[in-house]
Amino acid sequence: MMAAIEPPLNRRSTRTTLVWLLLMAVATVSTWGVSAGDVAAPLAAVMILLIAAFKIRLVQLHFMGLRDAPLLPRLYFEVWTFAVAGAVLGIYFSAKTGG
Amino acid sequence: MNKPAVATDFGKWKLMAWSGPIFFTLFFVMWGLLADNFPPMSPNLSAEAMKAHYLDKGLAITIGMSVCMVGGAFYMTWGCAVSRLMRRIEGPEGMFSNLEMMGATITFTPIVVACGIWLVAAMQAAVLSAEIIQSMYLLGWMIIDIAYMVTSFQIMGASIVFLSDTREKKLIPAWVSWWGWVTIASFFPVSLIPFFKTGPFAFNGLFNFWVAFPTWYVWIVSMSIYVIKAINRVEIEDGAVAPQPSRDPAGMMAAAR
Amino acid sequence: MSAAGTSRRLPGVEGVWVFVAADMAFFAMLFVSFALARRDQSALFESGRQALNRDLGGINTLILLTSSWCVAMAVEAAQRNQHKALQRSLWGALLCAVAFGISKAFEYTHELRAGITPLTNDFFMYYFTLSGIHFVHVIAGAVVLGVMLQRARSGAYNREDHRGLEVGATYWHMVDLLWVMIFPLLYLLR
Repeated sequence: MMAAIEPPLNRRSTRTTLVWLLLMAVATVSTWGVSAGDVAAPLAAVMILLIAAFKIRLVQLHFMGLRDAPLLPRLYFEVWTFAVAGAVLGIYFSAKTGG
Repeated sequence: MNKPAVATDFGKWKLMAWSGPIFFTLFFVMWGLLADNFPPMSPNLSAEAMKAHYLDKGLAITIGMSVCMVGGAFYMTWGCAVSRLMRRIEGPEGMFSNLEMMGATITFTPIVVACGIWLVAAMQAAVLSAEIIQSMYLLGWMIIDIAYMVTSFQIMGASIVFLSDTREKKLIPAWVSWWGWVTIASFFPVSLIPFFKTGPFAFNGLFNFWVAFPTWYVWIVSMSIYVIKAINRVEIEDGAVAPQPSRDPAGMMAAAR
Repeated sequence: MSAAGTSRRLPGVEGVWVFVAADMAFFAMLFVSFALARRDQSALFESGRQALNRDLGGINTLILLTSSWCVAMAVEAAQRNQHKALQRSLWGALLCAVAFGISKAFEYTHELRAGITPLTNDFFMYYFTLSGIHFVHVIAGAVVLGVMLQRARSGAYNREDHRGLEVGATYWHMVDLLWVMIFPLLYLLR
């Protein structure tokens, strides 16, 4: 059996596939569930951007291999994701409150 | 390596490599600071405001543009030095060293034409109508910006060849070549400048000015520095001078590992 | 190998990470300027958003996520010396890239036929710009995938040497994750 010969890599492929299924499910919920109109716009905005950040992080860590990367590059990409989502949300809500 | 039959003149080669730093210093000071292009005048301004700008800054723009028309040629001489280094990697039959030299040379053309147009706008500001001044200002920008593909080809040739260098320690560090690809990518959105008068894609905008130009500048500066270092290394490889105890200038990227 | 978590390393070569980091920084700036423009003209942006085809955009998201998964599986196949699986995965990724291209071309054609152009208003200027720049990345990525498939067929990648594959994979994952942010900004955010 392959699994007996190279267990870590096979387990990794199973994980990669599980991550993909999770991504597909979450994308479906975000596109056709949250944004469909039943959820209030501000709450939907928060959910949509958090889901996007979550998906980006999954791609970065599990597909791009940042999970096993040195600290500095990993930090850069983690910060990128949260800075982009945070900035978009911050600007979104500054319109609702400030003007 | 392809050791030439006639000994290479390393002195002249290094001199030409130094024309890279001369180009970007000259351009920064004369075009950017003196001619008041940091930031550039917005394409959204009225024709009258543009005429007033040229009347107001007439002498500074006249001097700045005429010096840039002369100094822009240093990009060509620098391109020759880079091209020669590339030939050490791809051999005398390589195509990309030609592409690099042609690209660097033709990059001078939109620079000299655009600066010439802005120069005449400054000289003639008092007698020309505001609409003509405005058209000349925009004309210069369209020419200098949308000609980017020539420079993209130049950078592409250099990036491909320097990345294919099989030396244990490449003549030009890989990150400089990869920054070249970044520069090429940052040029493409410049094609949008005819359609935007405001926002990040206007020629004075966040992306098409404040990202695209500094990205290219970083490439010119880092490529210049490493080309000059590389010529010293080639000189040692050729046995023209005795090897010096070397320091590691590219330790920054390695430290990230 | 890093699979067991014994050593920390970046896949591929460092240079491609320089490129990816800088390219993503450019996109971050575009996202922020889109958000600012959206704040200033929220009614116009909302009506523009409603004119977009959310179903096509959502399907494109699923397509790109799948192609990213295929590429990740391709790298793992190479690490196991499974040449058939490697080629199958790369074919999958390439077909997804082509499917994305067809769907996007269909979408653009439909919009242009309806008289919607980048000059219609600021929303569509951003829509065509953001999705267009991304589309250029997809085309370049499809070429990269095609080259990698060609090299895989000639047996260039194996357990010991699959660095080129990792370089292309890193780029392609970036194309995927950028779309994961572009899609909600343009199509979903109310």
